[in-house]
Amino acid sequence: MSTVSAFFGLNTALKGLLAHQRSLDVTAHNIGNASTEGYSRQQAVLQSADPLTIAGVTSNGSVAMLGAGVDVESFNRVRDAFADLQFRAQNMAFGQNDATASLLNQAELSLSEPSDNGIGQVLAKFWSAWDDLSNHPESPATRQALVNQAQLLTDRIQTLRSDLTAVRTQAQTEYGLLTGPTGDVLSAAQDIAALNQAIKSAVQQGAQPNDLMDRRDVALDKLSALGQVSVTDLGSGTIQVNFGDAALPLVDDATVTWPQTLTSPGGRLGALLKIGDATAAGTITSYLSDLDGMASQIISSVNAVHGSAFFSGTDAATIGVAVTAGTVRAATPPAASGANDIAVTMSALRGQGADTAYANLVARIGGESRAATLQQTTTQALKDSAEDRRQSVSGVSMDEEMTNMVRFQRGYQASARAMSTIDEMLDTLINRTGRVGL
Amino acid sequence: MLGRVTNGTMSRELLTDITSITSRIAKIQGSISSGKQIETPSDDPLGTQRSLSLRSVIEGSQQHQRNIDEATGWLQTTDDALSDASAIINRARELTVQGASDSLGPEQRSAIALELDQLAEALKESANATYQGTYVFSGVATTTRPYGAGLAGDGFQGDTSGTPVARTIGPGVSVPVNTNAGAVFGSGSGDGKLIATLRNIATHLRSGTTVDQNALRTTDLADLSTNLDTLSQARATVGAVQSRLDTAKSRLGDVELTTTKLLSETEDTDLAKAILDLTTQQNVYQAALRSGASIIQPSLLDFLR
Repeated sequence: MSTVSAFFGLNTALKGLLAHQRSLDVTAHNIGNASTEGYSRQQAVLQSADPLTIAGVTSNGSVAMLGAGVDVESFNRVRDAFADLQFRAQNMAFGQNDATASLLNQAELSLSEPSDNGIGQVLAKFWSAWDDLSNHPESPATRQALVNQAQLLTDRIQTLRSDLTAVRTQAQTEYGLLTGPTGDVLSAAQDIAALNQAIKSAVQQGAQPNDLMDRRDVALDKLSALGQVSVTDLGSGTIQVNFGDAALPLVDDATVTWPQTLTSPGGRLGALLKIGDATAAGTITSYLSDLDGMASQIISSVNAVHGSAFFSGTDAATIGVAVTAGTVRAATPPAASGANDIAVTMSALRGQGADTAYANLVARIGGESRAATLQQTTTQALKDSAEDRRQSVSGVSMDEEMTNMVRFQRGYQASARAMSTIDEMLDTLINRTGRVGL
Repeated sequence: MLGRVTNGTMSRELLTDITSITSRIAKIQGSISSGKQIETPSDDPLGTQRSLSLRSVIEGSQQHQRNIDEATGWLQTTDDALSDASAIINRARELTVQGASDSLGPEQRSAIALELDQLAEALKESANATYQGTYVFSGVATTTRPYGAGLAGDGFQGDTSGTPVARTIGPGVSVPVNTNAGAVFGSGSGDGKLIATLRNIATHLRSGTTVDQNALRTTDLADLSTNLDTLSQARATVGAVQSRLDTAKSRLGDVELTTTKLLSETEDTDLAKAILDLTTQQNVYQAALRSGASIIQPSLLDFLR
């Protein structure tokens, strides 16, 4: 019959003490990082230790296994990779709609409509100035008032054009900053590449670098707001990151390839590219071409009635007043002082093509801005709900940690009690045995 | 529904909800304080488009009403001058009848002829009537005085091309407001019009021959009647145009009123509704704050000692 060392139980109790101590350490780590961005709660995975095989302790003489306590197998981070995918997809959509909404809001503010100061009202007053001229064709003051009103109209059209162009330039500048050498894309990519290396060396040593992986996920989250991110696991802890529609991977293990050309990367960069696009497909560029169309309609219709150049230029950028109070024609020359056929015909242009073209432009910018704002609200809600789902897996719950803390503390206390019980048993054996009659 | 709700989730959701409530309150507050429910085109793109075209219609009808006021002033001046002219014709008729009497001596007829000369001058003065510095009887030559003083000034100086002086009284609608002085008062000797007739009567009175005396009784009185008819027709035309203007103005006033009401319905805040909405949102806001305060604070941490 084999025997087990009398001190075996002490070791078992010690393992219990240590395991609960580690578990308490993990709980403290979780509590400490409860508010850390991107932190995933961790847990110590406990496993009963390999048992001691002993023969002949049982009554029928067969082999038995005696439990040898507990071991900490690993420290896990609790994370759902699928929830990460969902979050990043929504985060990308939100980044796109957020940028679109804020830039289009800015574009529509430059219209200052509906108000008594917008181009719509200035245009209406311009037609009224022709009516005034038809009432008093011989009056220099009326002519001057008409020229002033025309000047105001061209100024407002040019200002609107430069305001809209400024929004486009702003989108281009922001795109340049984000993708430039000090931009967010490069810094996130470099973080990911560096973390790839750190994680790889930890994994090679057999460790599980939970906190490094959390930090890499945060960098990926940030990148996903800027554009489409897809992640491929390369094994041994490293990843390859493809960004937007770039030809080469942005990050491949330790290699960062940036800058690269993007055409439709999605996310914030996608929105900036679309709004800042200087070709006809660009959002602001198409507004500008509508505005140019309206300006050229004003120029051509007024000049046709005037019989000579009243406005100079061909579009919103070049429109100007070509006449002075002295050269404005109220009537077809040679005209008597009271003749007003041109002014009368001109005032009939009120509410025609130019007014309609402008109202359409305003409705278009307003409509697209409204749609972008609604999309922003919707994707914000979707992003929040994806984040909730992720947090429901990975987030730190104080109630849970407190419960665990009490559990592990009691476990530690009980292991200590077991140890002192065994200690008392040994005390009896060592100090009291064989002292009969002494 | 999430299986596992953490403290972080609860605080974040509370914050999101409170932020969205405050932004809604700010929006309602803005629409109440500005009185406009459309502050930017994106608040209501179609409404903005409608509001732009309504504003253009309002500005147009206001301007057309101003045009009508201008035209009315012009017509009033014309009518006053024509009314003076018809008083002059009546006086001329009395004087002609008086002068045709055989009982008068040459001096008395000459005195009457002098008064007729003055009537002719007064008539031309009436025809030189101005509205806001422009001659209303000169056609489109509004800065040219129609008639000068004395016999030499009997010739009509204004526009004879017949180009109308038009005023726009509605979208694409214009009416001529001027009366052709050449047709009514004439251009002096020999055209049978009013000035020529007055000059003829004076000449006949001065000459005093039997033929001229007869002419006073017959052709001259007949000419005065013809001219009075012409004058009456001109006044009737003025009156007709004026009545058309009055109708147009009242219609434009209606259009302005209706359109302004429509614009207000499109743009302006429905205060009763907005204040009700504000109260509702404030209640939601307070409820969210209260429940947040009671849910966020305690955790198991507060009960473990």
